[in-house]
Amino acid sequence: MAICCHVGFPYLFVTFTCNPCWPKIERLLKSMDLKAPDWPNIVSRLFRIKFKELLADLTKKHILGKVVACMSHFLFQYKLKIIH
Amino acid sequence: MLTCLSSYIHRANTQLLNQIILVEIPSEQDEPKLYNLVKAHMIRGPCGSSNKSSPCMKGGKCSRYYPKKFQNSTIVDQDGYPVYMQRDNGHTILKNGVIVDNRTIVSYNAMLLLKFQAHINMEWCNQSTSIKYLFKYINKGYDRITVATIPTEHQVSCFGGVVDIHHQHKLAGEFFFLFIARNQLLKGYSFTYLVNK
Repeated sequence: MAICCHVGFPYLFVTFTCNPCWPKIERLLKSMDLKAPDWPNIVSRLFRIKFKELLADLTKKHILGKVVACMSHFLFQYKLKIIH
Repeated sequence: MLTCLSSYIHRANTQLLNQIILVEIPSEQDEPKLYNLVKAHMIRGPCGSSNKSSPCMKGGKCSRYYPKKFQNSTIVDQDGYPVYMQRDNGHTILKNGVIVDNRTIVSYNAMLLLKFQAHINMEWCNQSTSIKYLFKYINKGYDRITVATIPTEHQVSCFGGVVDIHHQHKLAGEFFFLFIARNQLLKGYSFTYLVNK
């Protein structure tokens, strides 16, 4: 509530899910005959890079309009072992 | 992720909303790349009458109200929830043997979908009724877990040696790893993982 009073109501709710078929992951795992859930650390690291890029797009480049506040939360899907 | 935009577009400006959020299948001829990405990432189900064994089905209906109704323009209903523009423009996609149309598309942003090639769901949430739920969702989860690593006979594997002090999580070993994968890597630390096969 304090956040809402200060910066107003949130406007957009964005869900960003990791794609285990990203070409970079596939290129790496193809030679080792493994799947993305076998290497959650690499997938998480790539997700982090992409997430930072997304944040920069939203908060620095302002592609959807001027952003005044942004808060985020990470979840780990146990079933698929994919971060989102 | 919750995003607050500056105040000049805080109002329910549906024209602006249509520019940011799309809930329609793009034309296959004009935008083939976007069409394939929507096909891969932004389709719900298929659920409903075409796939009754979908996990979201409860009592013969989808618990998330898919497929939705066609809508000619974006409106905000009396409860303050947005109903996005989903026109009956004849664009269809064949997914898992089922032909789906605009009604089963999850809302997305075309620019971000093209750039990141992943499932990026985008919803308008500028209403007071959903604030509590959203902030709960953003802040939920464990911040800290107490685990200890104990030396085993074979020092190589630390998975057998992870115990959960408070016995709260049965899968303490996996939890420990997942937490390292999630938290430590998100902070930027490097970590060596031995493939347990």
